[in-house]
Amino acid sequence: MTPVQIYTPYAARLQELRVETRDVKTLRLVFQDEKVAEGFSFRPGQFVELSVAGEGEATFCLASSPEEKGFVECSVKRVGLVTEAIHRLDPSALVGLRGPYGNSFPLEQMEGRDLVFVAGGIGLAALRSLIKVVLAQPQKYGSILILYGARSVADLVYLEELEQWGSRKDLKTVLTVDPGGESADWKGEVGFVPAVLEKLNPGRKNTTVITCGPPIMIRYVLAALDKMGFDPEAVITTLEMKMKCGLGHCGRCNVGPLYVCKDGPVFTYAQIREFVEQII
Amino acid sequence: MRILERKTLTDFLENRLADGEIIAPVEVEGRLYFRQLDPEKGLAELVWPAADPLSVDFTVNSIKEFFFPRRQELYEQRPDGIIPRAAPDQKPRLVLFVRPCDARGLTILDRVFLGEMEDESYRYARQSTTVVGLHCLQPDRHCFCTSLGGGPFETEALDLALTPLEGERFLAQGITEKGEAVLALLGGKEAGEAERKALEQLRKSAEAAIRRTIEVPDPQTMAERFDSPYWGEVSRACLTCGICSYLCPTCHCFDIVDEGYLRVRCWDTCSSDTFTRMAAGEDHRRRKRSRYRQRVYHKFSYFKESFDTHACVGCGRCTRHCPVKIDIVEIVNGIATAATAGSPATPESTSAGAKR
Amino acid sequence: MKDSALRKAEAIAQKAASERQKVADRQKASERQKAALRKTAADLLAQKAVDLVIGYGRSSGGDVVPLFVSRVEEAQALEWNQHCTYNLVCYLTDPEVVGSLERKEKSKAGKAETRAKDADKAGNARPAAGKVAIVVKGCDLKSLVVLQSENQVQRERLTVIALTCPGVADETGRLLAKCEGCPPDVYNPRGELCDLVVGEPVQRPGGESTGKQSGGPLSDPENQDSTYCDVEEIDVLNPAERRELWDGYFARCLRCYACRNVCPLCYCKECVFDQHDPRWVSPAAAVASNRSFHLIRAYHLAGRCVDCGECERACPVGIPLRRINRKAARVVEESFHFRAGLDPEAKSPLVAFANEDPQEFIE
Repeated sequence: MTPVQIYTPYAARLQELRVETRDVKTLRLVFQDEKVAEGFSFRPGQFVELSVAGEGEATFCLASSPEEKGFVECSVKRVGLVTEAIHRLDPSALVGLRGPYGNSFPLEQMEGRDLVFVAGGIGLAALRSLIKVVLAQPQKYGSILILYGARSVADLVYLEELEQWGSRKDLKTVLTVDPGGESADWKGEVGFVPAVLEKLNPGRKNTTVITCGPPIMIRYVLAALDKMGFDPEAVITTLEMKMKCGLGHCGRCNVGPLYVCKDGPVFTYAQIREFVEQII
Repeated sequence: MRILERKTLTDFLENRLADGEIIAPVEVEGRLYFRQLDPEKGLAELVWPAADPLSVDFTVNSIKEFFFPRRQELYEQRPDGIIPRAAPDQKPRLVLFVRPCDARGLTILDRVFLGEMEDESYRYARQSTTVVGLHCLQPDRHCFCTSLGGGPFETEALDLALTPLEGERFLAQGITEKGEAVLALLGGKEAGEAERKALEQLRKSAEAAIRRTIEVPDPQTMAERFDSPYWGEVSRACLTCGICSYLCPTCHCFDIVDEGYLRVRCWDTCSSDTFTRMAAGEDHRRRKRSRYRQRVYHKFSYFKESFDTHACVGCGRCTRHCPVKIDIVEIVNGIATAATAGSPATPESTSAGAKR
Repeated sequence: MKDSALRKAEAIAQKAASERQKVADRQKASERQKAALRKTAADLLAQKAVDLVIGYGRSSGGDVVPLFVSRVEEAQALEWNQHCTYNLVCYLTDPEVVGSLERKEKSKAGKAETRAKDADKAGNARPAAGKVAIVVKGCDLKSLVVLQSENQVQRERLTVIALTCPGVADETGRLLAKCEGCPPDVYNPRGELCDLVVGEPVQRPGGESTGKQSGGPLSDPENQDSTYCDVEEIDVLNPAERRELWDGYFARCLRCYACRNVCPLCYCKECVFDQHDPRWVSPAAAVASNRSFHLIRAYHLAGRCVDCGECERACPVGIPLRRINRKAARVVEESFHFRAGLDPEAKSPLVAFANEDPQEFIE
């Protein structure tokens, strides 16, 4: 039988394996084939399947901006077999990369609106691509608020970027850690992300909220946004699900009538409201 | 429509076997399976359909595995590079004596594998295969194809349709261009009015012989009963094995695993307790009831939302081969009268039998 | 001449009549047994001696199915006939059916109870870890005995209803192979292993002549299981022939795991074949990994399997799985004079270590 070409990955070389936290690293990958490197394009929100020889494949959202040419980045939290293997990669190791798959954030619909990004832990990786694209052309959008929290100071990712964003005048950045996770010199908020969100009480008129984080955080953030009266069509999240093929064939990420890999991973709250309790 | 003598068919098949592949029902230790015929044995192993309507001979497997293999090598990923698998030559292939339900299963797989993201090996398999169908003279007590848009004398996805007649003869109809071409090669006598009448008669009696009807509730009814305690009751006996999924002509879930450096695609089942488990242990279908419910909803609600057909052809294999005879017709038919979520919960251990 | 022909004819007619009478008698006994079973179950539920009765029922499609009865009136749906082939003991280790019956230390038992009261997200209560009655045939009972010896069931929470059994049959009505040679103290279950025996003692043709009592000492040649001829048929093959024979079967295997899931003694919460970190055996259905699956499972069952035959019955592609497990059982029998499923106190020799264990392989 003919091999199934759609499952065969590109070869990509590891250019950098940056330590973010004790269990998160960011990979910078360069396609081995120049033609692929030139032709590879994606939209913020899409994901890829990364694979390590002999270990398997796993799903990661693209965390770099599509406008950054010559490389792509993914951030990986060490939770199992494949992610462990990724963390232990040698410098300039070869990995497999398949994609980009999935839908993307509705950038056009976000233009002219106030944007509120709410992220927790490694969930910021899923939004980083979008944030970079937005911040490259902030004039297209209204006010921008980034609320980001983690369990503790040591669990915050993208410290360099957080600092850059924090020093910009055209957006507001609020960082928080869970109670007990603050350090002696912590100057940010202390509180769970949903609670801080309620405290910040962003206006809901002409506002789009984009959120990603651990399932439990998403659940409470969505509930808080509901309480604050946000239109479910204007609340966007990106879901994580066990995936294998990544392109709508194998059935693994099927939840309700949707395939997270094909109809998502970006969804509005309105789309997933009916069955969100199943998965979060 | 032509009348073919068995000898005509035999000669034709022997010719095809010489430079192509034939997949047909073969008997192994008392059970029938679709298998690739061994050219060295010729047609000796092929099991011919009995014209005797009382003889029931269903294959254990469907023809799914010849288009969507149980195990398929995708490529090698070595530390120093990706090596795609070389494509072996695919000889022209004939699948013989396929019942209309199994053939219809292909159309459902087509919607998945020939969609926006096309599975090339599946397309190649479909293109290189001629599907020669066999009309079903005698459905058995588990069959329910007619209530799902199929039927024992349907021709969907068939290239050529054969109907067994008395005296080891067959009526043959070309359904597609491919089938017409085969019919031209076969020759045979042109069928007359008597044969057309016989065909109609056989069709009517076969359809009448289908004793079971599945009544799939509308999506609203299904949605209202998603959280019903009904799912705990009806799934209680389920062993969460893979028989129903693997024998089903339409089930297509799969896994991708590493065998050393070889990456391989293999069948998987949503019944399995590891199907939705994530690396850090999260699992939104931890319980058997959630998985059994998923099976029913995927086949009889979700799939239709995307693809305008239910993912079931009514072949009855799932019940026929289930080790504890879980009856999907009974379960689907019971949904409409099941308690909706939020109604006073029946005691957890209510037996499904009480409702009958 | 005429006379003897006449007598012959008479004898044949008489034999036929007495056969018919036997069948009619067996039918009646079977009906009485079924009625007694239903009454027993109804009484147990009415007296709240049990919360759940696991037995056989019938689907609307006409097939025998496992039935889970919790209301008195539902007891009338219980069935008992020659098609009741299932070994229902497999449900005793399914926490979604019975809650958890596992024997744990006192401090943990409390936790298990609490968890059982939790509802799922939809408000449906989880099965209560209460008291359960289970309907078993003699062969099924043996697997329950092994579960007891392995602390997988709190026996005091079970009411074991054993049925005298004339043998069970496949869909065509043919007696299952495993029923041939079933000893009398299995088809008429021993009272000390169960709580209730329902049904009159059964007379099976040839049952008396097997003579062997499965409870007797295995060192006694009279008690040797003389029905291992299916294993012997393969023992006479050379390794290459055996390999070819079994690979032929393993090539058919779909890795559906029906054999494992239907087995009352495969109860690991995480089966070695489901582990993916590391993944020991590829889950893909191919000869090499299928071979590993079946042989490893056979080793995990060696000295534990009681030959209830469910694995083979469940297999959709007719792999003769009983032969694999019976081969292992025979080796265990010869080496350790042990047969599984007879004594709830006895641990399987491959599970327990004793100084007297044979060790001829150590020089």
